[in-house]
Amino acid sequence: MPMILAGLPLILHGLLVTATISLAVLLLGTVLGIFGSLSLLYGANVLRWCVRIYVDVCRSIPHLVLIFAIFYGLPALGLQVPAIVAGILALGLFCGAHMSEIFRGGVESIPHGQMDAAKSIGLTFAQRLRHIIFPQALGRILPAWVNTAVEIVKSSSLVSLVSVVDLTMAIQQIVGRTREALLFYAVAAMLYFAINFTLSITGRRLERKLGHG
Amino acid sequence: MATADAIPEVNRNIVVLEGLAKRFAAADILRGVNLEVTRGEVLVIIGPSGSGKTTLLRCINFLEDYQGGRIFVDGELVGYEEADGKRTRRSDAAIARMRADVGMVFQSFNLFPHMTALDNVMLGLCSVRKLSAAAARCSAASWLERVGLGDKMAAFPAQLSGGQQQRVAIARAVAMEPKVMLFDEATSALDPELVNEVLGVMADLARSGMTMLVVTHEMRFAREVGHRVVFMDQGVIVEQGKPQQIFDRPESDRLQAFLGHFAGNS
Repeated sequence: MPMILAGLPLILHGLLVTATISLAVLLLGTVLGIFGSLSLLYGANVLRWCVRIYVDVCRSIPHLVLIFAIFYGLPALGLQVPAIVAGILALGLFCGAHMSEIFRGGVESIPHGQMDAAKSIGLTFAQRLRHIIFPQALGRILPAWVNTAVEIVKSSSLVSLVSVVDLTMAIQQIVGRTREALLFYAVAAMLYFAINFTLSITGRRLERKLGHG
Repeated sequence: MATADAIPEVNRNIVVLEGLAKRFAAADILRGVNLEVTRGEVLVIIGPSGSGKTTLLRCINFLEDYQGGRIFVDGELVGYEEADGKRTRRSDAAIARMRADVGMVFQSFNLFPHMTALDNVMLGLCSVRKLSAAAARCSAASWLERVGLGDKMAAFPAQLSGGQQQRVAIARAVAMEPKVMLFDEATSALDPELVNEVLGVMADLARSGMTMLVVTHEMRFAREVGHRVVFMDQGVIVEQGKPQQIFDRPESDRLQAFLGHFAGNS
């Protein structure tokens, strides 16, 4: 117990970094996903092609390779970014590609007649998205969005490999000092589980609430 | 007849099709359709499936683009601008504004499932007609009462029967006070016992002087409510005339063959 207490400040720091990275990646990914899916669905040909290439490339590369490519690649281009920013960019790019496909699928699963009816009462494109497409897509997208969020929280541990002190790295450092691998990796596992279980439960609750619409 | 001719054509004809042509992939769906619909007229379009009836309606409020000919609604060219013989698609806002003046009722109702019946009718009034919420609610409620659903305003589409859903859809379209209403097989997806409640609402609208283009397989409705019947086949109008003439004295072989399928229940 005293050993855990001694490690607590570092664990909390790591937890905070993991939470920050996850939130930033999800935010970036969701914004990219909205623009990406709208481009895939309604964009002009050139835009659609560009986004399609982005999506397919980012989804086919291992997360770790993406992180290394950006962490070591940007400095080669003369851009110095902190490791944590490189990690967020890399995972955010992947997340955005993944969300683009999720959102596109969600919108495409809405029957065409909905768009016809919305057009026929004179709604503009923006109004159709806001009043008809987005509210209906939300419920269809949410389960996959939560799954992605869970994946992102887990993948965020990869940034420890470019020496960001996230939860995983914090635990590794403590284990290095105390040699208590079993105890501290168990703590790490429990903390990751706690975050993701909370996410899933919240997601399921929201889903039930939206299910009425 | 002489007085009708004296009225300027733009005012007399609310919908005008000039040589309307539409091609899908390699198939010609519409091959030069000419049609004029006068204000207050109930025009019924009949014909076998694949004859282009639905596509014709969808072109009138530009749910489909068209390659040949012109469509005018109340004197305005639908969907395109013409300059120096070249046509360009009009802006999203301009197309939306024109569509607001053309009501449409679909075979599959297409109510917005995440909104109550009242909200379905109110959406266009608030977002497009820019009525205040109170005025929109008042108008929407009165239309829902008119179609016999005053007690279902808070119901979601999934809680309504097909006939009730279609009546909400009619209220949603008519509440916009369109210049013309398009009905695309409005009763084809309904159980037989629900057909009449929807046809009743449509007949009520027709009596109120609404200009209507009705694609239907309900020959009794065509005969009793229609002012004029148009028979389409393979993308062209084959024959048209007053209902009695079309049903009792069909001239073309194709119309005779088509009506033969309905013998006994029309």
